[in-house]
Amino acid sequence: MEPGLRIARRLSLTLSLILGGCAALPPGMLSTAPLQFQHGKLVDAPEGLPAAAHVVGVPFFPDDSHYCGPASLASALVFSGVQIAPQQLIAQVFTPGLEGSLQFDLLGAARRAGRIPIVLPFRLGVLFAQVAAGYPAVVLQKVGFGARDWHYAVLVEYDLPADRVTLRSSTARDLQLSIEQFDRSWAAGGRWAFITIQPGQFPPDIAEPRYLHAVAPLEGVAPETAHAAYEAALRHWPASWIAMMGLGNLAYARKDYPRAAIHFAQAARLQPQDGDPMNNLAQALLAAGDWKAAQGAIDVALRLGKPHPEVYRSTAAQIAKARAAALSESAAP
Amino acid sequence: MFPSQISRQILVATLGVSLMAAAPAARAELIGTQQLTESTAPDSATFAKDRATLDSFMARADVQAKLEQMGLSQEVTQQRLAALSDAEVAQLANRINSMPAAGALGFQEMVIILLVAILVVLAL
Repeated sequence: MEPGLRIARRLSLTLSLILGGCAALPPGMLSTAPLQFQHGKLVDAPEGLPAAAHVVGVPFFPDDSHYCGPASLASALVFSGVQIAPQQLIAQVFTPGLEGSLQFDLLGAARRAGRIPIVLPFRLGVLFAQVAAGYPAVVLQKVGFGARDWHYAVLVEYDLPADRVTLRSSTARDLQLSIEQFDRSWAAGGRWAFITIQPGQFPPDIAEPRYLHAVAPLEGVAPETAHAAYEAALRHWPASWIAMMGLGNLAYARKDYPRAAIHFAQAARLQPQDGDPMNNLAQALLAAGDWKAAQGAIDVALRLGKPHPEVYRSTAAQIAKARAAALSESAAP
Repeated sequence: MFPSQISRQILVATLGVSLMAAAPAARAELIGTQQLTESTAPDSATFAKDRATLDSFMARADVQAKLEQMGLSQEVTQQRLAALSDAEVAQLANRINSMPAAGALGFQEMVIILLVAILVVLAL
């Protein structure tokens, strides 16, 4: 294929994925992915999933224009205890030139509101499990054949025997679709969905790595939330050395180096064969002005030698520099 | 290029970088938590490079003009970028690096692709 043609094709393919104006058409049948609900049964259902569940009290913000992103996010955030209106989210998530809201921007806005957005594994069973545990989920759907017929809605109910899901969607408070209809519309966007949680909540089928992966990006924009979430994680998974590293990195970022050093040392105790906690311990001690103790810590990291030896060597070089500076200072009259 | 243009470009670039400096970019010698939670752990140098790729792209005057045209002020764009995770930034940076050289595509299309790419990368 000619390069120009290839680019044009790629362009049109990409443009076809523009998130558009929250169209209120019935779900399309675009997806070629195998359905996860076949012959009245859920494929790969999590163990113990109830046959039906309904999250009550999920607020509804009707929208008949392009604001399904802000409306759906507001619905999830308000349910999660944040006082916010869709109008307040428009500036953070809506891109006027695209007449729609981008997925990353929804996640970013949730973080800025002090909630933890968790992108779910791409499985219908896991999505339903969230509803069963009381978490409404924001879902991305393809709702027509047009290039711009992308739509966000909030899943609040599923009922396997009745073959039905219920969504807060555009102007419908309780939009009901068959499970197959819904799965087709959802599969077209890669089965993308997220829930928003508070520290201390542990949704089903979200293992420690996915939880921490969701929490870590909050360190910069919502450090208090990240702190509470790491502490909760340590109560839930007492051996979570990465959560301990998170507490250390938060302390380091607010320049509380002694506190950071304590957390890094605790992380090192939980994960003694890994050089990373000792490297960060050395950094915290160095920042606190104790290059001698820092030297001891980085020696251990260098001896362990993994998984980031080049970083340890770089830290060691920093310590050597600080040491040389300190010695030349004390040698001066 | 006229000196005034050059200094303007430098100003724009500096502004972009200084704004990004406010973002949670850990120093290279400290192992960040996000790095630890990546299954395919790229090193912190890679993350720093990804942020830099995105920075320099966003700092371009033509990119900013386009973003403003799409209704996104520089401030809003920076705020939104600051709320993204390292992994999300990496996905964006990859998109920028794989974009065809300027000229083959109109500039408008490039920016649209970039913005739209955000949609695609997570969804697929």
